[in-house]
Amino acid sequence: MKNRYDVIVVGAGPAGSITAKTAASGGLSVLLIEKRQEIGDPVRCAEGVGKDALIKHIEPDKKWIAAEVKGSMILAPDGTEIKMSEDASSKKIGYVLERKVFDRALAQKAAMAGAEVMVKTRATGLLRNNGKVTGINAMYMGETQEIKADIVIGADGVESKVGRWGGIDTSLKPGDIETCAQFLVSNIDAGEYSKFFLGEKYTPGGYVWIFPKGENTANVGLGILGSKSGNVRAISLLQRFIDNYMPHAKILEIVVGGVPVSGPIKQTITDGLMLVGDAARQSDPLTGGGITNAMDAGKMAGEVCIRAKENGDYSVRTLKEYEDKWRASIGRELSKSLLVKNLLIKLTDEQLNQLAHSLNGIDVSGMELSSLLLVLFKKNPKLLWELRTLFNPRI
Amino acid sequence: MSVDVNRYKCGYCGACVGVCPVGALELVETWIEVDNTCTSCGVCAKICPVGALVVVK
Repeated sequence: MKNRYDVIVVGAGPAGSITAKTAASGGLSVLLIEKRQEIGDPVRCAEGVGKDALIKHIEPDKKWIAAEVKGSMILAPDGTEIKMSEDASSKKIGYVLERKVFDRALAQKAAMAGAEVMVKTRATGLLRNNGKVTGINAMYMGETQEIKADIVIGADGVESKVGRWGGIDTSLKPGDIETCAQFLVSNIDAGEYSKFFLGEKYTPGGYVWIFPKGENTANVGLGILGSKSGNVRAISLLQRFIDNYMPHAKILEIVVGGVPVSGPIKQTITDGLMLVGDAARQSDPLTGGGITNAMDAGKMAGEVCIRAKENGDYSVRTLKEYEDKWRASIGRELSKSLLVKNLLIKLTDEQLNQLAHSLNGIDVSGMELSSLLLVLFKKNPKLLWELRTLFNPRI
Repeated sequence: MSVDVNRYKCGYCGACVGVCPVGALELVETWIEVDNTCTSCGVCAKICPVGALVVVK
């Protein structure tokens, strides 16, 4: 480890590793640090990801693909099924990953591009000069030291401290976080679809997911919107779901976590600092999915690091390109999802059933979520009036 | 004022750290550290997926 780099990336999840890889590929000296001693572990993720969005960044490898899924099945509280995104040729459209292997593979890509990787290395604060971020205080194996850099990237996930140290308020209110629990279970037939169970009868302000992982295993989990959790614990509701709906399931692993569902936050840059991924609250407020958004943001941030180096300017003047780019792409989608999420959490189980029933006789199997919402809106304009801005104003 | 963390229950997910309004918590590998800026507001305990946190008044 040197004591100075062009870029220090804090956190070796998908956002951090892609940032590091991109910047290192552009010839920058990059340090990627991970506070844990193993990259990718413990997992805090349902591990589902869209194929198209993923392969923009990395060639699929069977080492980290646990299973492929044909599409999604949404289940209303009364059991009515809505099957989506099944291509006519039954083309597989999504993966369920093995994050422990996937995250390490991404970090390896960063390393192969020239980034230095250090595990068991924790950022404990930021260095500053004239108000600008100029590096980090780090602790490696109990030893502290200062490491300087022109740009620090906060890729430190839901518990991000880097942004706060930099003066960016990333704190999540209870209504901005899904508190989640998941079991990796065996001895079940998980099928070939990702399943989403909606309704207060399962969990308040969230959903239950079942993501097949192959060989009679699946990730079964649920999230509760923090503002609706009361005294209920995600792990207790999940245990109840397992007991009620898959009593023969055997639990192989417990995963817990928090998913930011705030939608775009006000600020993700300051002089010498950028936030990416969950640290920038870039996970989707509706689905909770964040892997490919994180990778997209990481690529944008890495490219802006290269530009900043070329210009010799690491202030918000240059870094604003990252802020503008992610808001125009990821940010726009997050805002739409937030609108839908905020409406869905207000609907009763009866209203959710009504929405599902309104699709009777309509083939939605080839539809993406946006198209499905449009159909639902047309069929239930009164119920979904708040979503009107998502669609063409003539509708 | 502070928070007690049941280390035998904690799943070290960091959700509590993300919601702490004053940044008093930190996840270090597999344990949560609470510093003296904690106001015992209880948001962390409310959000914990496994109920590992208890506010001490």
